[in-house]
Formats: sequence, structure tokens, C-alpha cells
Amino acid sequence: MTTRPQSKNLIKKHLLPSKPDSLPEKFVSAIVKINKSGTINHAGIAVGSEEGQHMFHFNSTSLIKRELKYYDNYYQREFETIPPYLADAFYVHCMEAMDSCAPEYGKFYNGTYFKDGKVINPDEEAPFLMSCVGFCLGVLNGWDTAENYIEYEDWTANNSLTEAELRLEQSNLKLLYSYLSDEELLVNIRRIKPSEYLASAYLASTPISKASIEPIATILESIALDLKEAS
Amino acid sequence: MDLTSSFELKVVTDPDGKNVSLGDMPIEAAKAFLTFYQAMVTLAEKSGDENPRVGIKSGSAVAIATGKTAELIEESYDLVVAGKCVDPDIVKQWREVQAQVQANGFGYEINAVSAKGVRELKTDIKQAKTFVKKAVKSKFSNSIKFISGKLTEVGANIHVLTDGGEKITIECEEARAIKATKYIFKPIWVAVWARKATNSKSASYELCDVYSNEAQYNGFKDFFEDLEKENKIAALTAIHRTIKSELAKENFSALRKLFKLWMHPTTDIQTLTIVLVITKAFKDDKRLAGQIAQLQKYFALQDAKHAKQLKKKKRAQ
Repeated sequence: MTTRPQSKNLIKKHLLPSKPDSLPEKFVSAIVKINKSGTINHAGIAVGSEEGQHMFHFNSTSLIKRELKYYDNYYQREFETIPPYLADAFYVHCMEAMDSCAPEYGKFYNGTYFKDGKVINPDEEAPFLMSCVGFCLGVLNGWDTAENYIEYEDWTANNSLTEAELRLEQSNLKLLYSYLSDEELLVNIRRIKPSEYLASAYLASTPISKASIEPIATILESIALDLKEAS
Repeated sequence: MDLTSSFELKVVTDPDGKNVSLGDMPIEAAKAFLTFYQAMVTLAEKSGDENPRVGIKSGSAVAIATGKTAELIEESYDLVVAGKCVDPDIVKQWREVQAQVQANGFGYEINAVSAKGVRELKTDIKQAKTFVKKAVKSKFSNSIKFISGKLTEVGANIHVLTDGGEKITIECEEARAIKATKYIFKPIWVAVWARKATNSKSASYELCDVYSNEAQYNGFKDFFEDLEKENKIAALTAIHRTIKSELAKENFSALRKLFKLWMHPTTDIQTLTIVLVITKAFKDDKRLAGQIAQLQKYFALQDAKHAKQLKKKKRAQ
């Protein structure tokens, strides 16, 4: 494990407002939204390439590409694992991934990734569901030469959802995928939070574990509260 | 009246409709004027005028440039509005002005005055989409060239009289030169890596691959010539899609032939990346594994080089 303890200041220093003027020309970053109450509540991938500066994200109904704007509350951190000199290639990878699937929303992730421009679902029987974070992880898993960007199995239904959230998710999924047993569904119900996803960008060696993410995610959540108050 | 051109950014009234006066401004008005004055200073400095000058005029709060500076600022404004300005500093200043004009209840005027009359720009600026810099796209380039002609001589290198009538020498390994002897005085179709020495007009060539017939040769030649007409992103996309469709057709022999062209230290790292990402599922497949492993080596070499440069750049900042 190569995780170094990182101070709040150092973590904050690398978290940039997603405004075109404050960003370098080439980058591949985790981008998140901080809402009015100071919660990191949405995530995507930001890419600065020869095509301009864009955000790719899943808004729970559609996959979206849009230009970075000057006036909104998004912040971003460059992925330690993706150097800026590969940003044009990563842009192409995102574009091809976007064209290749139409996911549905769910607090569910089974290691799906975008590979060879198409979606690889490790468990063919499982539903193709994901959250905004799930989309990002899918794209990152398809890029990384190791099979997984993140140790997603570290997150379980029990350690990442409240009991009420879990019950709701189970009943929703049951309606859509009646052919799967409770056990089959439960295995891949998990929630990787946008703050945890953002924290992963700070780490250099993959696959990234929940244990290495947690301390950074906690600090980022506290930074988000400060940024809410400052804005 | 002044007959020379001028360019003016004015804060005229405050949100209560009272006139703003330079001698006594509320903080918000002073800030608005500061934004305008800062913009004027930068735009004048960046206008290209050899001796730019700017000023402040009272009456209302006016940041002003006159003469040639004013004309050049108006020209750069037109570029920004058309989305064709490539200078980030100029675009940034106009965006600040735009944000100011859109933001609050002050009364502003932005005028370009010339012999032709007064051109009022405020409404256009207010209603325009957020000003952005024009993206600069680079051409896709690589060192791969395709040559067809007649093999005229085989020695330490091979010599070809091209279809265009040019005599060229292609460097190659001994084993391949020996193989080439049986094609002497016959037509050949080859791919080479070309490099130009810095002080020389002529290029030197390194043998990459030989094609068994003209149709096969033309297939690769056309693909690479099309790539060179594209910008980098479009070319990378074309490479991605071509490999994807060949993988779907299980056309592995063509893919092996294609990958050979990129097994060289001059191959662009982003091309190598795209190839490796899309073939990831085949890295243990016997039909492509050897080629993928070789491309990975070229990638690793370039990656180390780029990473070193990046580190140096970061340290310098």
C-alpha cells in the first residue's frame, strides 16, 4: 500500500474549481458537484483535450457530454493514474464509451466496464444499472490496463447503504429484475459515494481500495463544507 | 469633438439610477469600474499596438483607449465574439466584462467610436454566449510512408526506383535484405519509417513492412493517408473504430499487419494508448498477444520519457 497521509491543505491545493480559466490545457480529472448544503452529490469525468474542456457524466437518465462552464459549483482533481499527455486519447475513449450503452440508474455496481468501445458486464445475467459514480468507474476500468481501477467489492450493501436505503433499493430492483434471486441482487448492491470516487483520483496505484480512499474522502467532505460556506 | 477613434467601457449609473461619478463612488461601482479598467489595460497591452495608451475619463466612470489602440481592441473584440480568438488572456478579460454587464443593476455603455460613427456593443455582449477561446487543433502526423516501385539493388540496404522515378535507399536488417534478393527487378510495395535529419533536405528510410500485392498495400496506404488529413482527435477516433471493427470481424492477420506499423520509437504515445486500450481483452489471446506485448514496450518507453518531462515541468512551476 502506497497511501501517504495527506494533510487537508495538500488535498485542498489539488482540488481546483472547474472553471476553464483556472485549469491547465490538458487534463483528465474526477469532477464533482458541491451542493448548497456542502455535500458532494454528483460526479463525472472532466477532460481537457484538443476538443476543448468537457465533462462526461451520467445524470441518472442519460449519458451527457457538456462543456465546462464558468459559473457553477463543480470542483475537480486530476487523476494520479492518468497523465495529461494522454488526455486526447482519453477523450476519444470517453466518446466511444458514451456511444456504446444506455444504462439505468441504481445503487448497484458489478464491475461493469467499457472495453473495446462496448460494455462488458462480468455477470451477463445481472442488470445494467449504475450511479453517476458507476459510469465513471466503468470508463476508468476500461482504460486501466489492470482489470479494475477500484476494488469495488470492498463496498457492500451493508457497509455503504443505510438499512432503509437498502430495503428501497432491493424492492426497486426486484420489480425490474424479478428473475434474479435476492442473493444475486444483494451481492452487487453497493454505493460508492461521489466523495469516495473523488478521493480515488488522489491515489496512484491501482486497484484502489476502500481503506486507502476513506481518510481522503473524509477530508474532502469537510473541504466541501468549507467551500459551501465560502461561496 | 475628438475625431480619432476611441474604445470606451463606461459605468454610467448605479442600481438606483443615479449617475456614477469617478470622484465619489460606492464600493460596488468602484469594483465594476476596476473590472473595466483592468480589462482595458490588458486589452490595450495585448492589442499589438507598439505604443498603447489608456486613460480614465470622468463624467461617468470611463476606461478609454484612443487611436490605433482603440481600433485594434475593436478588432480583437470582433474575433472574441466570433469565437475565433486564440489568446486566453484577451478572452478572459472580455469574459470578465461580460460577467459584469450581465451581473447587476448598474447602467453600462460599451462603445467603439470611429469616423464611421458610434458602435454600441453592450447589448451584444450581454446577450452573447459566454466567450470562450478558440480550440487549437493539431494535425495528426506520423513518420509512416508508403512506397511502391521496383527493387533495383540489394546490398547492406535495399535500393528502390519508385513509381515516381526517384531512387531511394531503405535501411533494413541483413536477414531481410537476404530475403529481398529474390524480388530483384520486380515491383515491390513497402511501408517505411521516414526521418529527416535536421540539416539535410533528404529523408532517410527504415524498412517497416512489405506487402505481397498492390491491393493490400493500397488498403494500408489509404488508411494512413486519410489519417494525416485529420486533426489528432479525429485520427485517434478513426484508429479506435477501425480496430474495433476489425476485431469484431476477427480479422487478426490484418490487425497484426497494422500493428507492425506502430512498432517504432517514433509512434505517437496517444496512438499506442488507443491501440492498447481497445485490444485489452486480447492481451492474452494467442492471435494478438505477441504484437500487443511489443506495442506495450514501445508505450512504456515513451511513457517514461513523457513522465520525466512532466515532472521537470511541474518542478519548474
